[in-house]
Amino acid sequence: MTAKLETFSAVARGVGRKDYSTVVEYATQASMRGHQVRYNSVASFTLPTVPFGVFYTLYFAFPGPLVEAPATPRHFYSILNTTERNALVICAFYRFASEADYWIFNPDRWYGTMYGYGEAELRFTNGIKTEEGKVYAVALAEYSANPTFTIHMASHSLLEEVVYG
Amino acid sequence: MKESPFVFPARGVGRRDYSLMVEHAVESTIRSYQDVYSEWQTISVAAGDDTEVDIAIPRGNVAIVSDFFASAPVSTLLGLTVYAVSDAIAGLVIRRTKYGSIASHLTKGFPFLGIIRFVVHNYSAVDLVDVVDIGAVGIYTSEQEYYLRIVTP
Repeated sequence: MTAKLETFSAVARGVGRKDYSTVVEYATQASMRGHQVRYNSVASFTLPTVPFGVFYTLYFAFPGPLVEAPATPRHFYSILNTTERNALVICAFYRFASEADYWIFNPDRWYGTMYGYGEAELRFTNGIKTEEGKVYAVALAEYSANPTFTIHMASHSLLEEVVYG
Repeated sequence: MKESPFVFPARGVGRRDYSLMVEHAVESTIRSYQDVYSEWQTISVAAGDDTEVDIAIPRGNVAIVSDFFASAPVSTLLGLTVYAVSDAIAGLVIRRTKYGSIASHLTKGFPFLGIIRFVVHNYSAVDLVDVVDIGAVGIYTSEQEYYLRIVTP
């Protein structure tokens, strides 16, 4: 095929600056945009081992003044609990309608439970998108005969600074 | 502001791109017309036996499931087979065998329009009573959105 450059007329629709770009980049490999921030965290907890006891860490979806604060969703891609022994650990992720529901453990969504020896991971290909005003919790527990255990919770997520309607 | 036609040079070969909107590449996230699909159940599986669980997708909706899980707090060999059931035909989606926990991730997901059928097998000699958690997580959207096509005049 012989490449030939030519000009043609196209109708510009909408308002704002005209787009004179001559090369269109197609969406290919997923990449971070300016309004997105990668958020990784590792939190360590030393807790007493209770027979069949499970501890929960709290994630408040969007604390602060709800009237002025933009609703900035957070997408959880991976939550991994790892312990310092080859003991059975749990990783579970829940959503609660309010903090009051959290204290009586009344989740309105259950996003998953994984068990594993040494570590347990919940990985979500498309992420779990948080919602404004909801409360999120991760279960932490080690099933062992030791009086205490230390567990490290690593979460990988994405913060959106712009919300599309 | 006034809309007006203007001229710009087209470069390259092949079909001209007359598209008026360009979708920017972003990290895959759930869009406003989609929801998180998350369905979990705790089941029992007898020693050496199978337990079959059917999860129905409400009519008119599509669950694009990318993550399948089966996990139990025991070091026991588990088998997980997932079928997509539609019009009484069951198509195999995944089949995995592992000790304790099984997680299967499909990057592009698999669309379920009828029933997600989990079959969990317990290879051990011990009954697993109310300890096996099974789940499917992905994107939930309407059939109309799923089959959305751009019709060119």
